[in-house]
Amino acid sequence: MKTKKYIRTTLIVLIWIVIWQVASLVVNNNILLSGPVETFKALISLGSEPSFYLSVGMTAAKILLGFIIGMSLGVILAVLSYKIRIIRDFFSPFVSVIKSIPIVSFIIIALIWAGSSFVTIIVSAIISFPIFYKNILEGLLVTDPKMLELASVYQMKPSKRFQYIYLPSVSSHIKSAISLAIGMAFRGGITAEVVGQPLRSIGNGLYRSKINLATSDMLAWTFVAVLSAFIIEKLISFIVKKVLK
Amino acid sequence: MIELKNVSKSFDDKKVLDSFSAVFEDGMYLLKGPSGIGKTTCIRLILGLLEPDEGTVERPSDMRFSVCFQENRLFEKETALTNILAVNEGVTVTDATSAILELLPSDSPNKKAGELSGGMKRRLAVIRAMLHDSDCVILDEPFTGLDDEARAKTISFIRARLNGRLLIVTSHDERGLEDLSVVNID
Repeated sequence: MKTKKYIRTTLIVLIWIVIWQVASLVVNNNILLSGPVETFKALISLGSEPSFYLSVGMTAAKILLGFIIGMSLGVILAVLSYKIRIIRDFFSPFVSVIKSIPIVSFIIIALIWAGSSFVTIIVSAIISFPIFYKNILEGLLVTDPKMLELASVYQMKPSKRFQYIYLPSVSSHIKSAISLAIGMAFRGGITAEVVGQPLRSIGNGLYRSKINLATSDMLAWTFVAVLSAFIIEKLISFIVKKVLK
Repeated sequence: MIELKNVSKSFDDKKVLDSFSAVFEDGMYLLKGPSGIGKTTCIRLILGLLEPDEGTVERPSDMRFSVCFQENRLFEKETALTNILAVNEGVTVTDATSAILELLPSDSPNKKAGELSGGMKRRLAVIRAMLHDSDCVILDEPFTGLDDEARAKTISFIRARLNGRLLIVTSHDERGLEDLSVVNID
């Protein structure tokens, strides 16, 4: 069953690559649309430079750090908001506002406050925080009150309540928050790099591709960004799955 | 001792208990009354999970309860054994296992609660309550879904594990409970 699914997915991806190649042949202009072959060549060329790996590593590390900061803040404040009503009333409108502010506004503020070296971390954290806050709080608020009554009558220890009542209630919310936040953090973090231009970063690579009109390089960098986000998401999901088990 | 004095409780303008009084001293009590009369409300008042609209509920402030609620309230994704141990710090794996085996089949301890039948879940909820270190055991309709044989075994188990604690049971069916002091709610 799993093998069938893999074959199906691979076939679908191959079909899209063929459509991409055909489209690039029709357009017949490498600046407007580079085909998969040119993009692959650009990827090989980028991969031959050691600075490429440093750029990818730096960007991934900064986004991951920002994600962890945002996640930690989101979890802590969600728990406090669940326990203390006044904190919930205080933070809920703030979180809703953060979610609707254009990310570029944060990028500009982060650049002014902290400079280009930290912009990726700050933006990734700001993007991840409300996603975790909302999801975890929602999970806590739907915890079965009957099970909480049971815990109260049986005087269950806080650690046991967490393990057997709260964790099962929030685990699906944690998983969806991770999946959503990591993708958004990568998008926001790399956008911040394109604007802020920190040295040795995926965003810087994308910017240089743009000014050189090197579309195949740009697509190669994009592919690397998507791949990095995918690997990190899978890695974090794997760790969380193990912990929740 | 638990004493309810002229207790009244309403939900959405519907009076469930009206000036109800009862005293539960040491011993075993059967809280009796037709369905919907307020037995569960009475139990929730005793446990302090509800406050009366009128009247008072008096009980020692340090009284510890074990309860089998009307719903099983099990950790469905955990094993039967974990369901016992999660709320019973002082109970050993050996004691919990042997208690489970008294009322449930031999493969039950390591089966997830969600995989047990309705009657087996009910018995597991009773076992959990009986093993809990408490001063008062409250069992709300503990025999729901049990056949005669399982019911008789469960009653024997409850009696054997009571150890002189105050027992309050609600049940429509009095069979096997004839020696309990009856408290009528009507």
